[in-house]
Amino acid sequence: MTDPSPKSLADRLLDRDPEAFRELVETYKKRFFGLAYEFTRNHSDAEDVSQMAFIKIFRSIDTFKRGSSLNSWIYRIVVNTAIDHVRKRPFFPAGFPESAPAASSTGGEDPVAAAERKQLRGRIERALAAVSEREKTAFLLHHDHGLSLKEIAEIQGVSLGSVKSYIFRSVHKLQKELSAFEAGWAKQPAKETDHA
Amino acid sequence: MPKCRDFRESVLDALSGSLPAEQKKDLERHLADCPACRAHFETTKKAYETMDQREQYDPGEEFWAGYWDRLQARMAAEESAERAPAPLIRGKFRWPFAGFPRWIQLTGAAAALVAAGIFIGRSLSRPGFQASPPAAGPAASVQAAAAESDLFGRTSLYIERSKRILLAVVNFAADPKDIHGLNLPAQRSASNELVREAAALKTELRGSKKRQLERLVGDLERILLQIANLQGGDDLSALGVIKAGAETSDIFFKIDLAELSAASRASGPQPGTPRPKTL
Repeated sequence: MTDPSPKSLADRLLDRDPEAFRELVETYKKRFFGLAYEFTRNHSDAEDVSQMAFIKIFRSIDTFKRGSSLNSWIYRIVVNTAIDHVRKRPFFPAGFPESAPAASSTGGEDPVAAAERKQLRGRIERALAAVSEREKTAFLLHHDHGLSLKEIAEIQGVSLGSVKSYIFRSVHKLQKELSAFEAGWAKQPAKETDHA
Repeated sequence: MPKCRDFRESVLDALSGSLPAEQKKDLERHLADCPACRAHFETTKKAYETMDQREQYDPGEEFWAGYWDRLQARMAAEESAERAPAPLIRGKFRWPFAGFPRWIQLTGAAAALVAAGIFIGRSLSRPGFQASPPAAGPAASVQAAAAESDLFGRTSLYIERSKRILLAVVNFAADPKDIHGLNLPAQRSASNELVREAAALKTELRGSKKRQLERLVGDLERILLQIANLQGGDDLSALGVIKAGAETSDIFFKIDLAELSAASRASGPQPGTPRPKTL
């Protein structure tokens, strides 16, 4: 299935085309759930957040300005919903760390490779936990969701320079956590100097 | 003349493939000459590549197939809850100043508020006053308590049935001498059934603000989905992953907490039973 162009989908949503909302859900459900899961680390909460985001989109589509970026608008809704949800969540019992993803395990995998993968996963989780909410949001939207820096700036309501700064800070924190793990990992980036 | 700072800022666009060809060539030329910027570029690229290796959580086909239906059910439930009329406002009550100019309506409302305040103040200060529930209160609260009790009952049953499946999976040992073994098709079928029931139950629990129970049902649903998605035959590695997932998510501890809470509800005063009067 090819993604419908966001602009035409936006127009159809605004025109209250009954099929458009279904199409939006089918197109974005995995992305929204995945993003929500990154914030909540819990299956049930991730489904709850993604559904809440879709419901908000459905109810407030009239406030979307025709001609602007649908991607930015809907991602802003899901990011804000996820952040609100995490902030309001009680510490117990939702604070339990949930098991790492299980769906993609492959049978007959080399135990050493499996152990290394598990270790890497743990380090990535720890590294992401050390990254601030804004930095993590910018990094995930750019890396996982392929959003442009301009779209991320619109979603976060900050300048383009701030988005770049958030992403580079995430990269440095990730590098710090992972440098011990990867043998070929580059050391701290050299001090910024102008050579031009 | 672009400086190192400008080139470094274009690294992210280069990695996402959105840097125009001309600027990309400039960047490549600069990286060849500038070790500091090259290190910066390599670090960022490496971080992106490492994050590519990260496993994404995927709840399975069964979950995605039912996503739209669950969303529709939730939207319908929320819509009907919002449409439920507030009896006093939308029922027989009619605002006596309806149809009058707005300033008269506001004056009337203010006067009614003052009168109500005086009445309540006098009633409370009356000697021997004792607060008592409104006449319609007990019937409504008994009805609400019965509905809540029914929801608790169904949730307990759901948890109990899920627990049996989880115990069967967690305690399963791939021992050829074990004559009982794990009846995987039956467990998958039962898990499927419970997964289908989970959506409606979660919606009801959410509506009743039983967030902890809703989360527990959601956590159970996730593990049951994994069981329902097991392939035929002895998928031992997948079973191992499910067992590990059940252990690390402390699912049995959460179930124990829910059962303890249910037991304390059952041993407490029955819903709707009037409390003994105190002197």
